[in-house]
Amino acid sequence: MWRTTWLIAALGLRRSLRDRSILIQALVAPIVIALVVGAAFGSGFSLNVTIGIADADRSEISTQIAQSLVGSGGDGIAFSAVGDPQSVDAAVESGSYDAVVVMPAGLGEAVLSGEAAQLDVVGAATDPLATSVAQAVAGGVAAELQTARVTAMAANEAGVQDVAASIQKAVASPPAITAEQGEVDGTFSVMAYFAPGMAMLFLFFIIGDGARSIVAERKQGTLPRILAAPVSPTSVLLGKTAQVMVVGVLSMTAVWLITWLGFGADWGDPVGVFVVIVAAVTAIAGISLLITGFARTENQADALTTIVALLFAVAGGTFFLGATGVLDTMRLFTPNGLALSAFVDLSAAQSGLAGVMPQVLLLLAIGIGTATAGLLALRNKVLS
Amino acid sequence: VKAALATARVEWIRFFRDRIAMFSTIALPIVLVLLIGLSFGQSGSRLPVGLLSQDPGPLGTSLISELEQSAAVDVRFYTDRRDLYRDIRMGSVGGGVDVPADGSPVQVYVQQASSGAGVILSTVNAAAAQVSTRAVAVDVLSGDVPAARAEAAVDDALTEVPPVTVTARSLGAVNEMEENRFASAVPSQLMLFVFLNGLLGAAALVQARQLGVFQRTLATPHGLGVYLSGLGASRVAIALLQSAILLGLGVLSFGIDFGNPLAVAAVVVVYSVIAAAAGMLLGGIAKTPGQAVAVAVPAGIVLGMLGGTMWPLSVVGPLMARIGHLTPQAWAMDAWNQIINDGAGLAGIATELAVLTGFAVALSALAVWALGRHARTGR
Repeated sequence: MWRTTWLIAALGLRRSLRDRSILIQALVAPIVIALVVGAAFGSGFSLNVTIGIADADRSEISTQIAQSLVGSGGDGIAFSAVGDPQSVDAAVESGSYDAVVVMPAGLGEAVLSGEAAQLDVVGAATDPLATSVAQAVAGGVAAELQTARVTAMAANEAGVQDVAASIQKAVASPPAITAEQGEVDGTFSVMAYFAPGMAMLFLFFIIGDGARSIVAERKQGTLPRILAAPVSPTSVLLGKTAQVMVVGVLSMTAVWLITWLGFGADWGDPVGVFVVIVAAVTAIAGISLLITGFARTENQADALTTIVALLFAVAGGTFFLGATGVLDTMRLFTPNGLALSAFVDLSAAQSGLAGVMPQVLLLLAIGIGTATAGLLALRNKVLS
Repeated sequence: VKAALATARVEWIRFFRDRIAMFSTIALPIVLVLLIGLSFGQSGSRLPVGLLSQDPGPLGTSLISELEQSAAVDVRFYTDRRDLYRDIRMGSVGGGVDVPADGSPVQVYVQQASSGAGVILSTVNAAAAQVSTRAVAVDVLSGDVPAARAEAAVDDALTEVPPVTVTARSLGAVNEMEENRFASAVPSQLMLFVFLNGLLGAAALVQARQLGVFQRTLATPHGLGVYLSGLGASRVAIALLQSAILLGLGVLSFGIDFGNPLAVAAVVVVYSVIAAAAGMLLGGIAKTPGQAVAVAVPAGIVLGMLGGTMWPLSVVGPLMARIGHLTPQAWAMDAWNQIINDGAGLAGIATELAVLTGFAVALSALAVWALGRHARTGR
């Protein structure tokens, strides 16, 4: 039985490798798409905000704040003094600053006298992030001012001798919690996400075609002839299954090796990657067999495969990286999304095989479950 | 004309019998628009930041709640450092903040310094200043007076002194696409799918070629020209129907203000011709229906990506934006931006329309040539 299974698989495999459509879908399409995404986003995300500091108060306090802010910044945030504090709106509208923190006239006096005091932030509606960053910065300045005046008032009440010295000390004190910057090592290539995602989308089409060839052979009359020979229907079905599995694993492995070795997209731990590829192909093959087994006609199987492939791809997050909300939860209910989350764990979280075991086991369970149901249904079809 | 219309009618009926075509024409774009609108619904006013804290202590806890209220960051909680690092590497959060137990400094993690490290540091420092007022004041005064007296005086002062407040105002108006995520999702998915479906229509043409339909038209009194115009008209009509449904959904369900209807109609009509012609061209050169589909899906996706239907071309580099403008998608998206965001009319999108018309004419000519060659030579 195993010999005939192997013969059937090998024949199907040879025919697949000669088919140019399979070559386009299995190799060219995922690699080209991944390269386009890589070219678009390869340089990574960068964020640069320039915040103007407008000192309309010109008091001792405001001058000091402006000076200390203008000196600080770096790594994507820059502070610079606004020359004419009266024309802040024009400066924002012209794009010289992404947002401006304004210290209005009378600020210093209000702070010292304990009156209500406020800072103003002016931003552009088209750049809400810069506006809110300026707001956060102004909030920090406001808190320092508040610390200074609370200290002054409390110093008076407690009977401290040199109030001015206390204020100076309060202004110079670091906050009770400080922050320091660390860097996350390792990089992630967007290609390591889009290449497997697209490969899985197209695998549905390729494997679906392979699974449907069983039904097609029955219609063309080759299948009854095969069965007339001493060949069991089981070996025919297993041969076809082996064929689609091998095509799937081979093509995805090729996509992996080409994007990794040829274009430097690191998918992560090689053992883990290969196991996830096998698990993902198993799930896709199982679902294709299930569809083929239960579809009434070949056309219906074709239509269902296309619809299922596209729905799973969309819901699995094939087209978007880093989606939140509905899509983030929904993707884990699709084989594509499960496999993609495993690929992301391998490449971006630097997990090993153990880290992706949950997804691998789930994918294998989906694959084996659907394949069994599908093959049983197909067996009845083949025999009928 | 009558014969062309009859051809168009037959093609139209055939289309409605095809369930895959119906699904990918109508259902899939709607599903995608919904998903994109719902999943990316947050406007970009806050930077997503991952927060890791095991045992933050009282000061750390108030720092965290201050960060949660911060205008600049959108705090997402993590329990596993590996997950946080993964999302930082992928860029789905701008950076990470680790609030350790009291005393040791807060750690701010980023992928590269350029990806907003300064913004996150500034925000954390501001939040730290906000939670430190009492501690700093007590600390300073404790140098001169007994700690208990300092604390009492500071607490009194805190109740008496009003806080220093921050006001914010924004200049100019937010454009429609930024205000309403669906306003960018609908036109971009429309451009993606009208083209993709146009290309997918090639499979049926290859089938018709294999059956010899085109050669037979040469024997009819009307000839190939009438048949091709009928065929083209039905394809354009399908694209127009798809556009009408998606645009209608956008207006009725998502309240999108598409702006000048004449300009919208012009883009939709010219683009429908482009998509129909591209599909007929592919139908004229592909060898088998399977090959047509195998080319159509990737080509539709790649051109859609290059042309800015999956992400705006404003986020890619200048070279990729220039390459993108080799596709009709990019010009169509430029036109949509101007119509929806700047309220442009026909005159405002004259350049884009001219380029798109050029695409339409060139692709139609190529399609007629390819199908005509097939009809004459049988290849």
